[in-house]
Amino acid sequence: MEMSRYRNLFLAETREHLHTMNQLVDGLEREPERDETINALFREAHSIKGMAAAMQFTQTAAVAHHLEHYLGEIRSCSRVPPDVRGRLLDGIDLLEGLLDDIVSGRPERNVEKFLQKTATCSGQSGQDMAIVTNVDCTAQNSASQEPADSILSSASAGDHSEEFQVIIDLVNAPKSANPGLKILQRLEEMGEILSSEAVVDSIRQGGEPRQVKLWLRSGIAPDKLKSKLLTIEGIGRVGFAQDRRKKPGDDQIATVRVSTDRLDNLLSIVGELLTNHYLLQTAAESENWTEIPAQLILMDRLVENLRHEVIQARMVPFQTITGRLPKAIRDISRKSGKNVTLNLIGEDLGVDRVVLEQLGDSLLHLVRNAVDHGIVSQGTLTIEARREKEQILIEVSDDGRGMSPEQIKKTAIAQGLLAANQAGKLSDREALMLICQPGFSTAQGVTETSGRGVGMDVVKSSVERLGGTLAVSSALDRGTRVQMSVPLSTAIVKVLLVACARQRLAIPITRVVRTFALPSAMINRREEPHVFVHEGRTVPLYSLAELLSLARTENTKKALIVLAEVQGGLVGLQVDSLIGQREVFVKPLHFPLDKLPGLSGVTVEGAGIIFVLEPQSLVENRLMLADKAGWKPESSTF
Amino acid sequence: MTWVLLFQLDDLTYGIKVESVQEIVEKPEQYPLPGAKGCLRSVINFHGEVLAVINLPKLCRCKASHLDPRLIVLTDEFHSLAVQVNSVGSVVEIDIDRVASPGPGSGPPVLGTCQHDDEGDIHLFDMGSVIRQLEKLDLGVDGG
Repeated sequence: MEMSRYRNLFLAETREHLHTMNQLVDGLEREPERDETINALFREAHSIKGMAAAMQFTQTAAVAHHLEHYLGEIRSCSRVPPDVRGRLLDGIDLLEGLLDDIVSGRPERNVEKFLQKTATCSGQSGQDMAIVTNVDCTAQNSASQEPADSILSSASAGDHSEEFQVIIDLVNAPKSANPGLKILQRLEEMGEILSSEAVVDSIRQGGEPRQVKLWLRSGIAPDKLKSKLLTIEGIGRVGFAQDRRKKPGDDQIATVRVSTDRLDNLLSIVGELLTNHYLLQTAAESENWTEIPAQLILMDRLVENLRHEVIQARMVPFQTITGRLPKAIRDISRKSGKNVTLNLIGEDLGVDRVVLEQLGDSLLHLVRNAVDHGIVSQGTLTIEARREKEQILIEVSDDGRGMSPEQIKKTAIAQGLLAANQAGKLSDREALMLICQPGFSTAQGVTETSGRGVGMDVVKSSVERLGGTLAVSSALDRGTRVQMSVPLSTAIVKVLLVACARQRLAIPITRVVRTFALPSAMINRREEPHVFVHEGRTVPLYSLAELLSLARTENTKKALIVLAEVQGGLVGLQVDSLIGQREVFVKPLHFPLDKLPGLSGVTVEGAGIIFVLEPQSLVENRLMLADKAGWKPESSTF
Repeated sequence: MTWVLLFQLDDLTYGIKVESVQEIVEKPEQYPLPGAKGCLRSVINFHGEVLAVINLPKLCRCKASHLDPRLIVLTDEFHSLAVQVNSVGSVVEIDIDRVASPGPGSGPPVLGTCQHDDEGDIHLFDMGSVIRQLEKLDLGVDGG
């Protein structure tokens, strides 16, 4: 049987089982439900074992079998060992780590020590149980020599090692120097060499490659790795490539389950569209022009229905990414010695799977920040998802110590992110947003779980890449709330099409407040950027052509303005012409296009290509360049 | 023996393994890329995928500015890029075991050089190095 066809299905279903197990482990503390909880956990472990064994993921099957047996023992001896939760959670962690190995294409990690370490309530060791099973655990053991301690730690929330490709160019070294072997030894001292057996074997057998490319997992910074490698004789150059491989979790929601009712609806709409197409064709052939407008209206409705159904089919429940949070919070709380109550609201809300994929890490980072820096010794962390029109709002709030805008300003000045004279002009809301500046940190020190890794700047970038916005509000001693507002769907987006320097561009309609023609005399061009007054508010005006380095628009008697919402404020974007609203299928940008500020995607229309803009990062990029150039707009909205 | 696609940057001949070459596209329509600068100015619609077009002579600071209208679409495990070169050549077979280490120099990145009976010196182009260069480049809007 060709197993690779079923790999994604296996990964999706196993993650669902692990998600359920994580939730069930919480229920172990509730006495009346304990027996049923243990039975349910047993069934979940049994399902994972069966699927893993069928897929020949032997280590995964062995751990699942171990957990199943462990739960069976508890059930039969009707005595719950004191550390059952911890042991089950360690096992679930390990299974999640094994799934990550499978996603990354690595050999499954060695689980022998976990099996030995975890004894059952009857005192039987896990290793004994592994022998009882038909699952062959020995085949993969030689492929990975990772000790159990590192297995468990790598699955924990505090693991910060990264994977990257190391590229080492060898120069003509004397044979006695044997740089290849020395490179391997040095790399093995500094991390774990991943999935490059052919290269490793070739070097070990005396090969003399001119270049060595290896994947390495290490917690050591690349520049330190480089300096250590360069001490080996025969190395000419050392380079690193970012890990652009599939990451663990990428496959987490690569599949969605669609109900047969929905599929029937889709089929029914497609059927109606075929009829509609036939009637339009007939009307055109027989020149029955009066029939066409009615059929076009019908087609419009059918296409809208189709869009709705397809978007719904892409939706997965919000709990797909919140499922791991209770355990993550338990881990962080345990490490920081805090007592945190988690309050999840809106877990059943359907969210576009792409949105969830993008926001998973950000949500975890916000949670870590809240527990680590917000909540003092005990408190409540609330995560809420709700729908507002075409947007999904995700809020992470805590009732902890909160943040002081004044203190943030001082920190930003001390960290060289803000000039003292600029700080005085910032409102409290603007000051709070400084935490999203790259390099900003209020942490007194780096803890195991936060204060490093992805920062608020990365969270903000992730939200903006989706065409969303991030807002922060906080009050001292009352808590902090971070609100992420993202589009309902990232694939099909309503946009306003505009033209600038003979190029068509799209602005997500969720960012457009209104459009209008503004008499040029109303624009104050003495300020930089130019400003105009709209409903009593002074609004900065940017030429879209200028923001995008396109040919600048000639001044005319009236300027066409797109009033856009940027970080809760307003900006005017001057364009050459307004084409109209449209629904477009947006494709993500790939490297290196994804490095360009202000572009969130692209849509292919006929023979042409239309870029979808992200006004917020466009304007921020302009402000950043202005800062670098030594001037700060007097009338920035943020 | 390894098959490589030859191309020219300035007056030098470079080769890239054919496994990395997805396609040579004849005069595709190029669409301007708003906000880009330097070696990245346009994109193409490549079978429905939007690919960045990298001006390799510009990235490698070559003197020759003329560009072959054909684009080479290169692909590896993680990236797909369309590159412009001064001139696209033919596909030849080289003996990879006879590739000598590159000498020091500031020209385009190469993995090594080999002698070919018909083509003379062929420099094996290091696409990985170009990717790393692009990852470090500030490609953003320069503010007009």
